Amino acid sequence: MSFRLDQYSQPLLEAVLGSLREGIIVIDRQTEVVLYNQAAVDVFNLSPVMTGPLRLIDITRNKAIHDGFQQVLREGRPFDTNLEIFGIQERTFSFRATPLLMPSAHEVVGAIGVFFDVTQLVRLERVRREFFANLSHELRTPLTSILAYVETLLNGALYDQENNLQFLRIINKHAMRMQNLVRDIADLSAIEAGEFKLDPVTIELKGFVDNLAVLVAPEAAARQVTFRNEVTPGVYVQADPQALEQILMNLIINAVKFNRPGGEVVVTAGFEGDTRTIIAVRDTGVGIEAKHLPRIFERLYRVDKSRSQEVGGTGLGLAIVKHLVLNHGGDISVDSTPGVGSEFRIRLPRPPLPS
Amino acid sequence: MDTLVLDAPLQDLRDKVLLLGGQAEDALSRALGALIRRNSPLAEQVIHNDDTIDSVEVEIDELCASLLMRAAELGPADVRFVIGVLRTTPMIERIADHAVNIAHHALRLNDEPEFKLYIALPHMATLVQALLTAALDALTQSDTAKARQTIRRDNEVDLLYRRMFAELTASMTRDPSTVTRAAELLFVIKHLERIADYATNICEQVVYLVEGRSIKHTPDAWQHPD
Repeated sequence: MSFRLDQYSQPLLEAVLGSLREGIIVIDRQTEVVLYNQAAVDVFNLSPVMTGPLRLIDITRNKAIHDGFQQVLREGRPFDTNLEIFGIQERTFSFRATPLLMPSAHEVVGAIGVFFDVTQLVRLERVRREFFANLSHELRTPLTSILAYVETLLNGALYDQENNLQFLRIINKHAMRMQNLVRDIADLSAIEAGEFKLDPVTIELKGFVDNLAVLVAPEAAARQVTFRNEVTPGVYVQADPQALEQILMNLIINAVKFNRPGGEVVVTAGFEGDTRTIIAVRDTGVGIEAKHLPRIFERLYRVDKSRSQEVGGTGLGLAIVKHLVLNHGGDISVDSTPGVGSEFRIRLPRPPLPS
Repeated sequence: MDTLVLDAPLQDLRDKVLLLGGQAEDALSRALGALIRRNSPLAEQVIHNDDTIDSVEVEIDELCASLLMRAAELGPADVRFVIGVLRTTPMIERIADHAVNIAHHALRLNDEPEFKLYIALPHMATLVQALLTAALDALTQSDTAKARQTIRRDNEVDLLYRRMFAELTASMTRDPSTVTRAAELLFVIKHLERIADYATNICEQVVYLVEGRSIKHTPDAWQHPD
């Protein structure tokens, strides 16, 4: 197949460069810009008024980028680095510069810089690392306790009539905690993998929440928290009953646990337009600081690590809630004022109106 | 928009002063990141990098001196450019110094419990960063309209400065346990306010470079761009 590149090379080059997600900047030895693509315009937020010959300094004042290009021009070898660009927005780029060689010339005539935004990847990598660090912490804490009490029992405490039962109860409590964590992890991965099949039906919310109130009552009583079901009769939602129970129980139990003695938890619900039902769970608890809000739905993220033992829970509840809500095609949001309380709102499909 | 056309040594000078500006911008962003996100390693980077900034300033001075020695060969716009650089470089270097100072305050504040009165600080920080970037963009693009627009925004910083000053002194009276931290923050906002002033001065130099006239001592001159 023959292909006359010279005739098409200019539009072809522009089309190829324009279609790349990576920002491309080509400079000559005097750091004048020979070529750049649309992605580079986006990466460096270049102003459209810039006309005429551009120099690299007109595109970026970032010293690391200039140093990278200079190194390539000087040494003729590729240069690779991850760049953290600090500014009003903080971003991370993978930056690779390679020498530009022309068949006619015997030296490096310029350099090609490729910029790829890896901000999101770096963030996900951090979340993943933290997840495993937290997971090992969450598993190790009860395990350490169990081993310590077993050892005490083996060393003779088994025959200590005053304490042996108490020790066994503690072992049992920590084993349950580990079991819950393992169960939640399995649930979460099933939900995320889409293996958790939802079977949405029309549910009347007032009655549904009344049934949950019975389950919440012991925990609420123990913490002197009043639970109120203020759902208007006649509000319906289209949801999988088992999933909805898991969603609401997680939110309500959290609202009870992170409350104060004498506080209250209120559930309300209403329609939003013809297609959505909103359910809100409001508490009068400690609240969540703004800086934690974006992260509370992450797996095992703890706002206050020192309180996690005291209030229990696996640290996976809100992640499970979020994924169950998303799998329904819904969304979840939260408002919180530290010291006043929090309100979690979920939007789920409203049952189709009778035609 | 006209781009200044300069010969090679002047291009080199322009590259250097703008790169220095980039380093000051970076130092400020990292110092503020250290302060607001309580990230001490960022503050240490700022303090560590300051030596390179100082040495670039010396390089620029030497380059300017050698260019002025052949002033007879340069056109009036070129001479003005060198003078403009000689005036701008110390401002940029001062901005970097203020960033280093903010980094030192951040290190001390990060060793203390978090101070909950941070509300207006991120706002002021973002504004000052935006002003510095706009001033350096105006310098890069010889954009006098942007320079004048940036000068006008300095008032917003002064307003925020006064508000935060009142907020911090009120906190000191109300709760003596906050005195040390509030005092540190008083210095921080003063540094930010000074940086915004320098950004304004850089913008005045942009007008001088392009139009050949000084608006430094004529406070209303930015209103008459003709």
